[in-house]
Amino acid sequence: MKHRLVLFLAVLVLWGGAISARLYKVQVLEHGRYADRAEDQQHRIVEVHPPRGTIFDARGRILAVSVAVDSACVFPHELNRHKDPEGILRQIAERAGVDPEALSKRVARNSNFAWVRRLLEPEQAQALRDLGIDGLGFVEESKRYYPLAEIAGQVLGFVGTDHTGLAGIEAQYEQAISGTPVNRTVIRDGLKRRVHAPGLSLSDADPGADLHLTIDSSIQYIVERELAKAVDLHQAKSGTAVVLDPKTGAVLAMASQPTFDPNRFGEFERELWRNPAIQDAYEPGSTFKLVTFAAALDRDLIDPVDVVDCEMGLIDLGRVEIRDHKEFGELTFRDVFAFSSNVGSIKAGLLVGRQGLFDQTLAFGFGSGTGVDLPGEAGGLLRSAESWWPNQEAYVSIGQGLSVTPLQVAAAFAAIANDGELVKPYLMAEQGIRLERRALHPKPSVVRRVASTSTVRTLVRLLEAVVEEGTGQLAAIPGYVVAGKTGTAQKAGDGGYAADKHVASFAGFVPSRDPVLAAVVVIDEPRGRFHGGEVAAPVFSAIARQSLVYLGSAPDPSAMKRRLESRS
Amino acid sequence: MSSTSKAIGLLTGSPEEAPIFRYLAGVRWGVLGSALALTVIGLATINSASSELAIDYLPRQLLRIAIGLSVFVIAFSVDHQLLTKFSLPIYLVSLGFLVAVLLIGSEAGGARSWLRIGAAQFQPSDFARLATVLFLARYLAGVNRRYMNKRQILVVCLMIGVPMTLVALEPDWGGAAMFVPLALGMVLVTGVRWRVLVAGALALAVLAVGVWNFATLDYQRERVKTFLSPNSDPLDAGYQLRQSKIAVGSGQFTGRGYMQGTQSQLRFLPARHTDFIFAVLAEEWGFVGVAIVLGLFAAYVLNGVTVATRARDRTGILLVVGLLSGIAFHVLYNTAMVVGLLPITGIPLPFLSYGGSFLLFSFAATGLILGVDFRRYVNR
Repeated sequence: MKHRLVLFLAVLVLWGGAISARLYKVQVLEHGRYADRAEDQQHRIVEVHPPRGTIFDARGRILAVSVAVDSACVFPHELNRHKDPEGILRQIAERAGVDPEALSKRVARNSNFAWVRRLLEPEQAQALRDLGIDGLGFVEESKRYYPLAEIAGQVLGFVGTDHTGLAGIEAQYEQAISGTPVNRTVIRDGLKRRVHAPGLSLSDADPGADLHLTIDSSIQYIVERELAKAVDLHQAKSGTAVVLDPKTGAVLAMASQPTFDPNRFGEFERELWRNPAIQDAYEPGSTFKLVTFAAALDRDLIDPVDVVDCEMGLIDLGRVEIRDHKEFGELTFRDVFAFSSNVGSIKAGLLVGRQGLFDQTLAFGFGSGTGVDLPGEAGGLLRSAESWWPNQEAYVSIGQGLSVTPLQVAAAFAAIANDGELVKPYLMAEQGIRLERRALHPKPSVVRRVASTSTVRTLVRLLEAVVEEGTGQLAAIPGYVVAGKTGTAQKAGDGGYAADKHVASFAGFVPSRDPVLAAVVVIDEPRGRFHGGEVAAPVFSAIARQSLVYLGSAPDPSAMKRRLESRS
Repeated sequence: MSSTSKAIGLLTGSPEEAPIFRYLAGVRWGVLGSALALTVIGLATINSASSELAIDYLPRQLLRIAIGLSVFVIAFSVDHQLLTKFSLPIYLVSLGFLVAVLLIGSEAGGARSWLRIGAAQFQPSDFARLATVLFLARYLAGVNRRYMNKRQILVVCLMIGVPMTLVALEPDWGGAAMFVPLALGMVLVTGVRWRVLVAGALALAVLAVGVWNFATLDYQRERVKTFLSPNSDPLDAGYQLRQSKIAVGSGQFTGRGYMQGTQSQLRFLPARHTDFIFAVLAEEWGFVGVAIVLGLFAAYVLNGVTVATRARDRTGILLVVGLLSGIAFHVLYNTAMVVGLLPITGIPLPFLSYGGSFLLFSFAATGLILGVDFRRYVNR
């Protein structure tokens, strides 16, 4: 029997030898190949985004901040080891606040991984953790949070799910605020989970810079509240306002109603993501008479005390006639401005002429974007003087036949408030970490002088007259002298101007002799009353009055005196 | 010496009658030594392979080893001659279990192969293997010829054919196939003509083709296809084999180190604490580690073969050979499947793989082999 045993043994030895040889081949000779494959499937290079910078307002209040929140996921094949996976799923769904049916469907689709809910509220994440279930995992993700919700939403914009700023400041300063993503090696396990990230600290990543805006959220809030009231009161399509620091061009507030909440941007219509203050051009109407009068005064073509015949409300330009809103007879140019006579203004404009008007319009910054640091700014429509149609100068004199943005108008009025120097509006005051709580450095960047100082002084007096006794009386603020101009423009409809669609606006600054703020209010398509003096001037007054109190601007004694005198 | 006192062996007889301690010292303890060394290595590897799992497998395996050692002591104590006398009823009982598992067994991985008794679970096929070896040993010991005749060969085929068929019905083709090497070793030692072996090999090949075409389940067919071209389906069927080869290949000469095997620690390798524990060992201890383990298995088998060569009774020799070939084929098949030389099927690695009933088989086999050696002067 023994030789058979030897044969039996020989078979075993041969087989064992073959296995050993194979092991030696795989383990030692081909080691590199398999080690590479191991690393290949265990290591993943991932792009790690450093936390996005925080956006502060002018007083250091947070407008936008990134917070790390948990997203919950399940590993179904691990979950299935539990006795009652369906019951556990129901529990998870309940605590995460998701539809259990939808969750089971997601889980059924993929046996390795399924999201339960992304970007959980902290209480939900805690409740899920308390379950202590194997097969339920958490992934830390960054969520952009806007503590003031709608306030300044259209200015700030929002961040998409790919961590990219998609509108407003978030898009404009994407590069600075997002920091530089870094590539990191992450070890994954066989369930495609990230288990360990060697050196995944972001310390040497270039973090996103903080932004300090000129926006003051208190003024912004005042503006949005007053706009909302006006839009509601006049059942208007929308309302827009901009408040500038006339000396520096700092945008203190910029808002529209209706607006959206960037925390939940997906729930709003895309149309509301726009920023009408810089993106929606409109025909300015009478507020534009500022430019006409600046041109005529600067060229010494008129004097405020000169008398002009306003033709009882109708001017015949040959092919067309332009009507006034009232049948004015003979008026001084001061009153033409104060009472906003179209006929008188056209006569002033015709004195200046086509080229002069065009040049002055350009000088005030119309026809191209202001250069504000926001994406998608519109320049408005302004054709060059040579290509104007016949009589266009007459229309331009009263702010028709061209379009402007609310910000352009605010900047133009701010230029008069700033002794005739046009400064570029801006929103971002400082970038990076502020070490001390000090006032933001104003950094006016002067674009150009729009008119001589004597012309500016005259214009200020004319603007004061508008509020004191003209069309803009509802813009008055007790204790302050307000300078401003009303505007009521018919909106262009099919083949001409629509009789029932108007843009009511008011632009101005206050206090008139030492302006703290310049602002424009534009109410689009108010129903019923539609004059700028009736619809927009009161909004300007409400915004400016509360903002002056907030900014601590002292009432003007001379204004008090003048008011008392007018009463006696 | 009466048969009863012979049966108890170790427990009876005064030192004058039987120099037990001298006999005990002369037993081939290398068989048990290598078995225990492998068991300890297995425990350490299970600890590493299951460290990422929710359940702690270590205490459970320790309990099984304790039971296994008791089984060893019993198997060593009971005279195999007595045991083989009762081999027919034992065989019939094991067939009964195999029938029972088909009716009330619990399913796992597509096959109904586990029988639950109280809290314990066991695979009746492991018990059936032991019973078949005992039964075969008894029958073949009676074959008094140089070469087995047709009738005898037919009887042997029947004796393994019945449990094989029952296991195959579960369906567990791998488990069924492992009956063949048990019988093969014993038949070879009994004496058989070459042409019978060749005819048997041909018959097996025909059977395999038939099984492949008509009786396999999809998952089984996938496994074999996967073996033939492992990279054809990178997501499902080839996954186990690819991960196993990556684990083995990652080990290099000295391995990544204990508890450092990324393939198992990162859960890439399925069945890492059971059938694929050899891959974990290969990754963490490298070629040196697997060489030591294979060396221990070689020591086990060689010591066992020595037992067979110095035994004087046919029953004992056949029993040792059957048990040794059972264990050796498990080792050779399992390691070959881990490195991709054979298709994947549920064959555990003796002494190392986590799992109860095959461990009990292995310890019982060890006890029986040493029992044969202990009684080599008594049983002739």
